[in-house]
Amino acid sequence: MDMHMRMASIFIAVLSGVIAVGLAALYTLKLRDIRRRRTAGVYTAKHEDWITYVLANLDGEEPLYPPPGRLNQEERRVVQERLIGWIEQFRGEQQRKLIALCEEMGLVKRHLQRLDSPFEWVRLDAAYYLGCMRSHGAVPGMMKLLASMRFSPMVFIVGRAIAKCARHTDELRDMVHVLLAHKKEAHPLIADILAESEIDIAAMLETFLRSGDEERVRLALAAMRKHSLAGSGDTLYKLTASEQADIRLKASKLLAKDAVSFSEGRARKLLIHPDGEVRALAAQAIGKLGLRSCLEQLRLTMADPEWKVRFYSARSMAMLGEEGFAELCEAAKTDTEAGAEEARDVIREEMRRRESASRETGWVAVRGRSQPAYEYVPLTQDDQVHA
Amino acid sequence: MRALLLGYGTVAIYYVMAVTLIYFMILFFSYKGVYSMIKGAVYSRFQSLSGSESAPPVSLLVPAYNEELTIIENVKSLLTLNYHTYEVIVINDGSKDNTLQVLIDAFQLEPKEDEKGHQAIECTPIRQVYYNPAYPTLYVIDKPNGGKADSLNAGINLSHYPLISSIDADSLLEKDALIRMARVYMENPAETVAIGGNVRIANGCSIRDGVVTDVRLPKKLWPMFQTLEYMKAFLGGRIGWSHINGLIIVSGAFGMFRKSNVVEVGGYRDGYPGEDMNIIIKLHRHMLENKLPYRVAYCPDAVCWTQAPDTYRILSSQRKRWGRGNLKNMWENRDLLLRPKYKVFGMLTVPYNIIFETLNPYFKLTGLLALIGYVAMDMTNWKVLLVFALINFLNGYVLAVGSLVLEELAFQRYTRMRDLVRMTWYSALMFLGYYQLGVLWRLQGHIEFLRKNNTWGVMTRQSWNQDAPAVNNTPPVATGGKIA
Amino acid sequence: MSNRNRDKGKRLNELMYEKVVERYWSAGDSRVEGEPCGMVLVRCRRSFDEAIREVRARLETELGGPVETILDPGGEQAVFLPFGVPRSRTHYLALLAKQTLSAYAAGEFAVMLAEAGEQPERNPRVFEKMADLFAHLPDEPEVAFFQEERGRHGESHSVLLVDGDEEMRRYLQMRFRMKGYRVLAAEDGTQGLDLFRQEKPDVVVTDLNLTGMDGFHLLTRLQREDPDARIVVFTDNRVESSISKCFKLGVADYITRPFSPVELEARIERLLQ
Repeated sequence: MDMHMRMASIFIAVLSGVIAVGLAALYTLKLRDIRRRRTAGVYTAKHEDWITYVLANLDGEEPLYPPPGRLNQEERRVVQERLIGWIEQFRGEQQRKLIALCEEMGLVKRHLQRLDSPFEWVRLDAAYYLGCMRSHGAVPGMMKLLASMRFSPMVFIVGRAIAKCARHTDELRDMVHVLLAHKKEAHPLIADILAESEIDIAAMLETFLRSGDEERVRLALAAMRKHSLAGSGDTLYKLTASEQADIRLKASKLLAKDAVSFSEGRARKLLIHPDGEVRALAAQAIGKLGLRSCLEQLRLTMADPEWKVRFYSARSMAMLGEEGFAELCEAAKTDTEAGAEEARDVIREEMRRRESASRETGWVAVRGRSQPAYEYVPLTQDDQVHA
Repeated sequence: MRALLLGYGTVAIYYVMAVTLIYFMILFFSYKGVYSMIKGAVYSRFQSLSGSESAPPVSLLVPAYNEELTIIENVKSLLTLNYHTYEVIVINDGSKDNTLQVLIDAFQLEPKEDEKGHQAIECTPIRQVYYNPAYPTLYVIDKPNGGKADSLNAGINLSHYPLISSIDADSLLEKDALIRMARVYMENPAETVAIGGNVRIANGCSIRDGVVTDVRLPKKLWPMFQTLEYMKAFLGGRIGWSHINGLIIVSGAFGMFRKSNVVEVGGYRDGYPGEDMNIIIKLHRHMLENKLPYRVAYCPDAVCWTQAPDTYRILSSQRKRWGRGNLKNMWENRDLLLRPKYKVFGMLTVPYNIIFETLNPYFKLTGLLALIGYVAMDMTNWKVLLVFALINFLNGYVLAVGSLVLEELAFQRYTRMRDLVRMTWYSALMFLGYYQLGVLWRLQGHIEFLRKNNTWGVMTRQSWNQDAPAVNNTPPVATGGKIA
Repeated sequence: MSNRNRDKGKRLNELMYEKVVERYWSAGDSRVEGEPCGMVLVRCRRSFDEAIREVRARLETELGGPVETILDPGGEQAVFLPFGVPRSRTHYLALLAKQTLSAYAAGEFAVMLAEAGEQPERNPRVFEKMADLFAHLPDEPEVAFFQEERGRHGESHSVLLVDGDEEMRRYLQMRFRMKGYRVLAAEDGTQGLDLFRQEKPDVVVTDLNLTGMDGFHLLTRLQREDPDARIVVFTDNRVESSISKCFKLGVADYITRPFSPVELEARIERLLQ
C-alpha cells in the first residue's frame, strides 16, 4: 500500500506542478494579449493620419513616404497589417504603389531575411507576407519551403504566396506540381490560387488540358470555369470520352457553356453518351442554347432510362418555342412512354409560368419562374449532385 | 472484504491515472493539431475566398420543432452568411405551435409545386415545400412529425448542393463560419467526409441582428459551467481526436457533411437521440469497411453560438438524453470494439468512449460504494481519502487549465481579465457537485434507455424534443448532443 | 475669444491671399501656371515661436529648400505654403508638422491641410472661409482637411454606399467626396433601404454580403422602391451565377474586389451621365 501511496503522491506533485505552470502560462498569455491589444489600439490611432494620407494619395505618380519617425516592432506590425489589408483590396496602380511603399519601408527586405530562418513557422509567416507584397525575389525561397513541407493546410498558404509573386509560368507550373503531388483533389482550391496570379496562364492550362495526366487535366478543368480558353472545344470534346466520370462530366459542362463549342453534331453525340449525367447535361444545354435542330433527338431521349435525362429533355423542349412545346404535349399524351410523367410535369410548370407572366405579380422575380430549382445551379456549377 | 476494498482502491487510483494520461495524450494532440488549423485560418482571406467560385455550394438544413419564438431571427441571420452560394432549408417537423405559419408570414412564402425532390433517402413524405422568389435562398419544408433525423433526411432529399450542413434552429452561426469550414473541405476534398464546428455558449453575450457582438461569460451558474464544459470538450478534446482521425461526434448544432457519403450510409438514423454521433460512426464504418481514405475533420474557428439550458430541469433532461444516445450508439456498434480493421476508431476511440464515457458512471458509483465500505469497516484513513480526492480533482483541473490555455493561445474570445479569473475559479468549482450531477444524469439516461428499450419501435415517431415537454412559451431546449 | 480669433483669422487669410497672388499672378510667369498650391495651416498654443521654427526647419530639410511661411500676428497660427510641391507631398508635410508640434505642445495644437484650388482666379472668399474654419477648429491631434464644397449649387450627385466593412466605407466616402459627390453611408441593408427612401440617391453602391438583410433581397427591395434605381454591386462575390442573378434584378453594373478605385469611379461616373 505504501508503494501505491508514494506513487500517488508523486502523481499529485507532478499534476500540481503542471497546473501551476499552466496557470502561470495562462495568465502571462492573458496579460500579454491585453497589453498587445491596448498598444495595437494606441498605434492604430497614432498612424490613422498616415493611413489616411496613403489612401488619399494612391493615384498619380508621386511616391508615398513611410510614417514619419522611427517605428518600433509593434508599431511596424500594426502598420504592416493595415497596408496588407489594402494591398489585397486593390488591383493595378494603387496596389503597386502600396507594394512600393512596403519596399520603401524595408518590410520586404526584412521578410526576405526571415525566409531563411531555421524555424519553419517563421518562414511560413515570411512567405505569407512576401506573397502579399508580391516579391518576385522571394519565389525561389518559397519554392524551397513548399517542397520541404509535409501536407497540411499551410502548403496552400505558401502556394498562394508563390502564385502572387510569380512572374513566369514556370514558377507557377512548379508550384502546381508540388501541390498536385499531395493528391488531395484540391483542384478547385489550386485553381483559385492560380487565379491570384497576374501572368497569363492560358497557355499553361492548355498544356495541362492536353497532358493526359488526370491530375493536371482536372486542374485545368477547374480553372477553366473562371478562365475560359478559346479554341479548347476539340480537347474538351475528346475528354468527354474519358474513363473518369468526373472528367467526362466537367468537360461536358464546359463544352456546353457556349454555342461555339457545343455544336449541333456534338450535342447529338452527347445525347447518346453512355453516361447518364452527360446525357442529362446535354439535354439541358440544348434548351439553354436554343438548338432547335436537336428537337427530334430530344423527343427520343424522352424515353431515356434516367429520369434526369427525361426531365431535362422535357424542359428543353418547352424552351424551344411553340414547336417544341407541341412535341412535348405529344410526349405527354402517349402515356405508355416513360417520359410522359416528366412531360406532364414540365407542361404544368410551363402553363403556370405563362399564366404568372401574364398576370402582374407583386414580386420582382429574382429568378425567372421558368427556372425552377433544378436549374438553380447554372451549367457552370461543378460538383452539383442532385439528390 | 477488507482486502477487496483495498484492492479496489488501488485499482481505482490507477484507473484515474490512466484516464489522466489518455486525456493528456488527447490534449497533446489538440495542441499539435491546433497550430496548423489556426495558422491556416490566420493566413487565409475569408472575405475574398467566400466569393470565389472554387468554394463549393452548401445546403444548410435547419430542423425545427416548436421554434416559433426564435425561428425568424435565426433564419434571418442564416440568410446573411458570408458565402457566395448556399441555401437554407428549414424543415418544420410537424410542430405543434405556429412555427410554419410565422415562417410563411415573415417571408411571404408560397407553396412551391415543382419541387418534388427525388427520394434519395427514405423519410416521412413531406406535405409541402414553401418558397418566395424574393428570398431566393430560403426553402421551407412542411412535414408530419418524424423526429430530427427524419427531418434531416427530408432536407437532404430536397437539397441541391454537394455539401450539407446541419444546424440547430436555436443556434446562430458566425458570418464567416461557413467559409471557414468550406476552406477545410477545399484543402482536402478527396478525404474529407465530415467537418465539425465549434459550439460556444451564447448566454451572457450581446446579440444584435443575429450576430454576437460582445462576448461575455454567462451570469447564471448552469450556463457558466456548460461554457467551461464545452470549451474543454471542443478545444481540449475534439481538436486532438480529429488530429488522429478518431473523432466520434460532429455536433448536431453545427456540422458539415459530404452529401454523397451521407446518402451512401442511408442518411440519418431515425427516432432517438444521438443521431449526430450515429451518423459519424456510420461514416467511419462505411469508409473503413470499404478501405477508402477519409477523415472526419474539425474546424475550431467555425463558430456556432447556442443558447444553453439555464434551468436544472431542462439541463438534466438534455443530459439524460445524451446519456441514452451514447449508450445506444455504443451498444449497437460494440462490434467495432478493438477490431484492428477499424484502425484508430476501433482501437482507440470506441474503447475510450465505452470505458471513460459510457461506463464512467459505474466506476464512479462503485467508487462511492467502496467509500461507504471504507467508512463502514472503519478503514477510513484520511490520508488515503485525501489522496484520492486530490488526484480526482487535479486530474480534472489540469485538463481544464489545458483547454483554457488552448483557448487563450488560439482564439482569445473572452478578452477581459475578469473573465479569465472567473473561468479558472469556476473550473475548480465544477468539482463540487456539477460533475457528480453529470454522472447522475448519465446514469438516469441509461436507466431510461433500459426501460424503453423494448418499446423502441413506438418511439421512432416521437419528436426529437420530447424530453423537454414544452411548457407553453418556454424556449425549446438545445436539441441533439452537442458534446458527447 | 472666438471674436479675437476671427479678427486675426481675417488678417491671416489676407496675408495668405497676398502671397498666393504674388506668386501666381504678379510674377506673370507661365511656369507656375497650373502648379499645385497646397497649404499647411498650423495652430500652436504653447511655445509658439520655437515650435514654428522647428516645424519650418523640418519641412525645409524635407524639401531641401525654403518654404514660404506666414505667421499670424495673433501669435498662435501660422501657414506654410510649399509652392509647387505636389498634393500628396504637401499632405505628408502636414504629417511632419503634426509630429513636430505634438512634441512641443501635446494636445494644444491643430493642423489643417488645404488647397488653393487650380482654377486661374483664386477666390479671396475661399481663403476667408478657410481661415475662419481653421480658427474654429478644436485642438485635435488629427490633421483636418479643408475642401471647397463644390456641390452646394445643386449640381452634385448623391451616392448611397452600403457596405459592412467600416474601413472600406470610410475610404470610399473619402474618395467620393473628393470627387464632389454627396455621400450617404449605411452599414447594413436595413439602414441602406431607409436612406434610399429618404434621400433618393442618384446611385447606390452596395455589397452583397451584408448583415440584417442579404444583398439579393436588398436589391429586390430597392427595385420595388424605384424600378429605375441605378445600382452598382461592389462585392467579393465573383461567382458567375451571382453576377447573372444581379443583372436579372436590374443592377446597372457589377464590380468585383480586388478593385481599381479609378475604374470604380469611372463606372459610377458613366452611370451618372
